[in-house]
Amino acid sequence: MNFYEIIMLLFGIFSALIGCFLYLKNYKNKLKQQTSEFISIATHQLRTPLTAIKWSIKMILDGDVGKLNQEQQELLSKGYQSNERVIKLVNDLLDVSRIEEKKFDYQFDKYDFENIIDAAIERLQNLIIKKHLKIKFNKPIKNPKIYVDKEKILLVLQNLLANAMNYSTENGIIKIDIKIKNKFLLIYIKDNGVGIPKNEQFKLFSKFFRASNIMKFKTQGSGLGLFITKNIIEKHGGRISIKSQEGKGTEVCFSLPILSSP
Amino acid sequence: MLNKQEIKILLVEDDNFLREICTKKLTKQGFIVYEAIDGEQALKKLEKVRPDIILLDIILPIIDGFEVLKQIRSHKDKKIQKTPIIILSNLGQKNDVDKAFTLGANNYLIKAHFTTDDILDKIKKELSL
Repeated sequence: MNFYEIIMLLFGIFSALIGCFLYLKNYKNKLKQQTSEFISIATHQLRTPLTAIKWSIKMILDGDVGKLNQEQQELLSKGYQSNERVIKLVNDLLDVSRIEEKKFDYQFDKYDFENIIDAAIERLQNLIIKKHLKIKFNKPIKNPKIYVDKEKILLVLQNLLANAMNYSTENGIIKIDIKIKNKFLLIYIKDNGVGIPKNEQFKLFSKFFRASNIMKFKTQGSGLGLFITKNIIEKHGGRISIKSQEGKGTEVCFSLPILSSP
Repeated sequence: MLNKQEIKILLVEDDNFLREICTKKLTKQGFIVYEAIDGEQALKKLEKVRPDIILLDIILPIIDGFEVLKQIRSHKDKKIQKTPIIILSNLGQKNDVDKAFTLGANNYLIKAHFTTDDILDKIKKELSL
C-alpha cells in the first residue's frame, strides 16, 4: 500500500466515523425529543384521573356526602396528601420536559421581591406548623424591584424552602437573608438540617438526584426540584450555589439581577 | 343580585367522573347544572338553556373548547355572547392560557391545581354572589 492509498484509507475511515457520529447525534436528539413528547402527553393524561381523585376525596373530606368519623377523616387526609404528591411529581415531570423541549414559557414583569418570598412562605404554612419550624426572614432596608416571572420564582422559592423544611429536624430554624451586591439581589436560604454528603454534592442539580442520607428517612420527592430551580434562575440571568455539611445543615445562595429585563 | 337557586350553569366536560363530581358539588350548593360532553353539544345547549355562566374544558371531542369559546364570543345573541366563561382545563402552558384569554375567557383554572370549592368561589366571584 503506497502513501496515497494510506491517506485515502484514513480519509475513508475518518469520513465513516464522522458519519456514524452525526447519525448517533441525530438519533440521540430524536430520542430525547420523543421522550419529552411522551412525558408531555403522559402527564396531561395523568392529570385527569388525579383531578378526579383530588376532587372526590376533597368532597368527602368536606362532609359533602355525609359526616366522617375521625379515623376516616385521618385516612382520607393522608390519601389526599399522597395524591397531591403525585400531582407535584407530574408537574415536575412536565416542567422538565418543557425545559428540555425549550418550551418553558416565561412572562417577565416588575415585582417587589419581598412580597414573593412572603407568598412562598405562606404556601408552606402547613409544613412550618407540622414541624414546628421557625422562619427568620431578614428583610433588606431597601426593598428592590426586580424583573421576574412571578410564578416561576415562586416555584424556585417553594422548592428551596420546602427542601430546607423537609430536611430539617423538628423545631429547626430556617434563615432567609437578602443582600444587594453589584446590581444583583443575593438570596440566602439556610437550614440547620441533615445536610448533604460531600461526595454527592456535585450531583445536586442533576435530574432525579436524591442524597443517600435523605433516602434513609424520607423516601418522598422526585429529585427534579433543583434541576428545575437552577434552570429557572439561569433563565433570569442569575446563578445558584449550595454549601452543605452533613449533619450541620445547608445554605443555598442564588442571585437575580435587579431592575434589568433579561 | 342573582339568586343561587335560579342560576344556570353549563358544564362542558368530557370526562364522566369529573363531570359527575362537579355537578354534584354545584347542585348541592343550589345551582342548576346542565351538562354537555363535547363542544357540539355545548353550542346546542347554550341556545336552549341560556346559562348564566359556563364552565368549559378545552380538550373536547368534535369541537374543542377554544372553538366553542370563539363561537360564543361572536354569537349573534348579545346575552349569550357576554356569558361569563371559566375555563377548566388540565392544559396549563402559557400559550394555552394566553389563547383562552385572548378569545375572551373570564378565568382559567388548571383542574389538578384546584378543588371544586375553588371552582365554586370563582363562580360566585364572577357572578358577584
